[in-house]
Amino acid sequence: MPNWLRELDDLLRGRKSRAELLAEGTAHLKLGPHVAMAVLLGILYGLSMALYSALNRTPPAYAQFVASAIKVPALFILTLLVSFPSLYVFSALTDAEVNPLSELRVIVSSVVVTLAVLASFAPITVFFTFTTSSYPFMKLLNVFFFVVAALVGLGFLLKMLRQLDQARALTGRAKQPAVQQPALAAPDPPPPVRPRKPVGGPLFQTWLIVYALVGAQMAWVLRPFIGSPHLPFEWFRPRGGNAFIDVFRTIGELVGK
Amino acid sequence: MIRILAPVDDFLRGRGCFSIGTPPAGRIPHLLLFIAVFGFIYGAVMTSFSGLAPGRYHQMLYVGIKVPLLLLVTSFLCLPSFFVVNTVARLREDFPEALHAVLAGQACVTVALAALAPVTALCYVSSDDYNVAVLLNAAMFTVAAVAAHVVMRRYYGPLIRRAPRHAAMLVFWFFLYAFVGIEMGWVLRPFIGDPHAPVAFLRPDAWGNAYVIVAKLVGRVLQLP
Repeated sequence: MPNWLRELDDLLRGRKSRAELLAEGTAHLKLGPHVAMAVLLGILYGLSMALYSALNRTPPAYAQFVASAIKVPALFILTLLVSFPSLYVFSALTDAEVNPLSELRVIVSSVVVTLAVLASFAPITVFFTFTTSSYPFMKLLNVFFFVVAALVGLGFLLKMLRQLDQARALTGRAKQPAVQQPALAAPDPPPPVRPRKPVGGPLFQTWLIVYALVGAQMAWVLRPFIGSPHLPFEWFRPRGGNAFIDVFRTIGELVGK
Repeated sequence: MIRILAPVDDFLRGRGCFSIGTPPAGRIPHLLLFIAVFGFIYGAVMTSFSGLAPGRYHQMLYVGIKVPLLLLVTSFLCLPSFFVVNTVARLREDFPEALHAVLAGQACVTVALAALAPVTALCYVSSDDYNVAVLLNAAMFTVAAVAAHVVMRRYYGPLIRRAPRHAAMLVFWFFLYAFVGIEMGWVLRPFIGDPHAPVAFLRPDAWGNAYVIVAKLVGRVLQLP
């Protein structure tokens, strides 16, 4: 098995998110290889999305392959770039026990998991692309797969944060000083120890909602990913509208005449 | 003959190499063979509604191939997602057993269908209504699916007891498989064969989407614009 595949396999199997391993830090969650894996998996799914444009346009819009292969990884990376600074600032303001680099590593790991799940749906997307010409159906199918992948990634992230908190508790206990013998002279009182705040607390959960909303809007900004057969190929569509309204409109188009 | 069917008997009873605890890898070739053989038998009988007319015999060969194809290609498309989601749920060590369980379910569908084939043939002899044939086959597949449930429970039961997350994985497989399988069935039609339509492996308008057609029907019923 190639190294990068073994790395991905270990991540998916949860071997990299064991509390004992996280107790030593998050350095084993290497950012570079994880970003590279995310890009590769994103390209894979992007190509499967763009197939629709090659099959349902005359002449086929092959440029959509390039556009979608760039846009799917870009969607996840840009969403993280836009929303991560706010997480860091609010975490620092509320004095959460957090190291921004550790947090970034953990979030990138969950992005890799999300993209792995998404890429695993690629054969089904390709199958439906070959068998259907309905653009609204393909749009809704892809929205559904993105939502499922995001939910799996979210579950992975929350589990990893719990493990991280457990790991911190483990190291906290290990670092507690041994019980001292009473001294003749009363020692200075120890400085008050502030309770450690969990990483995956309410602040992080609120941030996750912001992250999801930013992701949805980023997908809207970066559209088209599939490419409507009735519109010319464009790298980006003009501004206006939003993803949530469009989902309802697409359901209407699918059901309508 | 009985010796040839002995592995099927073992499979249905969960004995021999199909008993729980034996290595699942050894059973998978058997299961694939059951799907191919019994799927072919039911496919041929299923289409005998119109396939026994002169000049249409090759339709039985076509549908005989298409029934195992429907089951196996659908599984093939769903497997990557099933594998990744099982891995993320930290159930990778159990994956060979889970794969065996879902394949065993499909093998049981084909065995049950082959057992019901004489009933289907009898109904074809007694009625020449195409709509009755469609409904009859829907009923046969439903009965076979219920039979498959027994086998799935047999193999998935120990997994669920070991890790309750397997129950969620089974539900995931069921919905994904049904979602893809419905479309696969639509693409691979005809299975029964309209006696007034020419014989074809796939319909000339085969590429289409079952869900889009259902959505349009719903729209028409609700009189949406």
